Amino acid sequence: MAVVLTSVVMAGVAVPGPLDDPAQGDQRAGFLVDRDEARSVPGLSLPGDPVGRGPVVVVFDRSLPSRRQLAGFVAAVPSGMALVVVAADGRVAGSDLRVAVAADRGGALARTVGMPRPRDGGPPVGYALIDERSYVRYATLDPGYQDHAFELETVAGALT
Amino acid sequence: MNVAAPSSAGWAIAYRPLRPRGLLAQLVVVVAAEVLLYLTYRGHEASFHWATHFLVGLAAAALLNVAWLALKGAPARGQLLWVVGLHLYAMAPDLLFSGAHVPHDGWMDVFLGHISAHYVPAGARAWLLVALASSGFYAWVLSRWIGARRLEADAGMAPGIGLGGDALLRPQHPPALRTLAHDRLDPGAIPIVLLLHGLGGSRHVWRAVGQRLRARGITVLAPDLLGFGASRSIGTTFALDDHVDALLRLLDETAARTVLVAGHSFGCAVAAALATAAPQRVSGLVLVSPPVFADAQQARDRLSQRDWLSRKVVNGSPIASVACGLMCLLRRPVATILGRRARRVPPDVARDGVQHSWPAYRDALAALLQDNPLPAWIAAPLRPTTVVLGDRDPQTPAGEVLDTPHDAVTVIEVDGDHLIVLTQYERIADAIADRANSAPHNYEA
Repeated sequence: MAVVLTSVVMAGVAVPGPLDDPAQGDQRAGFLVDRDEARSVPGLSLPGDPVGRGPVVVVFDRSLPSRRQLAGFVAAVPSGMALVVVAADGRVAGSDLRVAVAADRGGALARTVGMPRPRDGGPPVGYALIDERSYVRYATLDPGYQDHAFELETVAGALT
Repeated sequence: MNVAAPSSAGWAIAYRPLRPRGLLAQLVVVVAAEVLLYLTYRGHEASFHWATHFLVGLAAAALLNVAWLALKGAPARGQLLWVVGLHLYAMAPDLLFSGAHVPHDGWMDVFLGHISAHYVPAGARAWLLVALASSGFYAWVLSRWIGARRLEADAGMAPGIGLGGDALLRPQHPPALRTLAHDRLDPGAIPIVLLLHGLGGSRHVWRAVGQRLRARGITVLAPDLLGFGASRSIGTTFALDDHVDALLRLLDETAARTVLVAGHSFGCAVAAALATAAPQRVSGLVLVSPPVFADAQQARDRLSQRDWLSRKVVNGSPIASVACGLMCLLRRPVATILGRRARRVPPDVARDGVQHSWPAYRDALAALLQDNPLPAWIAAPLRPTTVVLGDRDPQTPAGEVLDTPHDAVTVIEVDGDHLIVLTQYERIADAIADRANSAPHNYEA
């Protein structure tokens, strides 16, 4: 029985990928951090200066996703919440996303927001939620964030 | 209450929660449900969460099954289904998240540590070890329990289902091979008096009376009834017939051919059953605080007055067996506490208040409710009988006992409540000695 159980669990659980969080429990945790434990980023510079004016979703990716890829995620952003997509490769010119985009070649933005570092040590792929008082209430790696719009909807919904 | 003893090979199969067909059906349900849950989580790329909560649910189910076995003295029905049930409970916040858009929060740790479970070192591997250890522990306890019950069946007894404490892992001794624990105060003379204690008691309640009888040259035989006191590990069924059989074996082994029998409370019912079953072995009865009731309802009302546990047992509450199972597990410390806090009774009598098994207690109360031989005996005794009653006894009020036809019995009313065996030992010893000496020709050793 022990062998069967071990085999089932080992075979059933997906091996973490290079973009995943080394601390599995921290990835897609699904709960907002309290303000007194959250990082404050009042001076965070993003296109359109949305921080401090209202809640913001900041998506971090290694390169800009296509408009089609991001469509579901964009649709899940609650009204009244700003969305900024940050590309680590810095190639943001000519974006067709119709949302604010920013380059973060050196990773300064990700560090300021407190995005976790993936297993491969490269730039993070995931997103952060910043509340209207400039506190980072949620910052998670999520290589499949484009397919997990329902999670954004739930967590961001609690923020608004 | 007697259960026909099934064969060794067949009893486990006959016992419902262990039937292979039932277990197989449960296993199919568990596997199907877990596959569905796994696919759901995998669809969200969250198989890691499925594994964690499944393993937490499995560990919790194993530990709950251990607790159930320990408290109820029997495996739970649907024991495998608990895995799915507890897994669903553990993952309830995920259902709320995806179904009702409720984000996770710290309070959700009430769902078997739903949040914190992800933060243990080594994650799902740690939970795998925990689940394996707890499942292995349950498998070990269950196999020891089955082994003990199988040995009982081999010895010709009904398997001891419901027995707690030590009896979970060790088989009970067959009454045919193990003599009841007893004290024999033997001045080397006849007559012999057999003293039978009441419910939740032991032979120690008779110590003061026994010493006085011995001083008068009367031999005293005071056993712990089947399932009580030091006889706790003897027998698996505890109906009046079982008590009678065990007592007759004790009389045979101690060469007591004919005895005067004195009983206190439930011991009176056993005394009457013994005298009815083997009148040639009994020369007379002295019944101290006999539980005689007009009808079953009155019996329930009166027995409910004994204590909280009796009330639960009489009302058929499942809490009774759980409370008793807990007491079995904590017998040693509870006995120590009872001994230290005893005020109205001697410390050893107080300690003996928990030296019995749940089935012994339950079956004794059932005997008083269902086949109490006392009203018939008092109405038409087959042997000379003396009844001693406390005038302030709320459980067996003298007035109600005397409402029963009792022309052929001698009634003595003394000052006291149901524990007159401890407080009026001089008067009771007098009554027993008078009855023993009134027909000395009846006694042979």
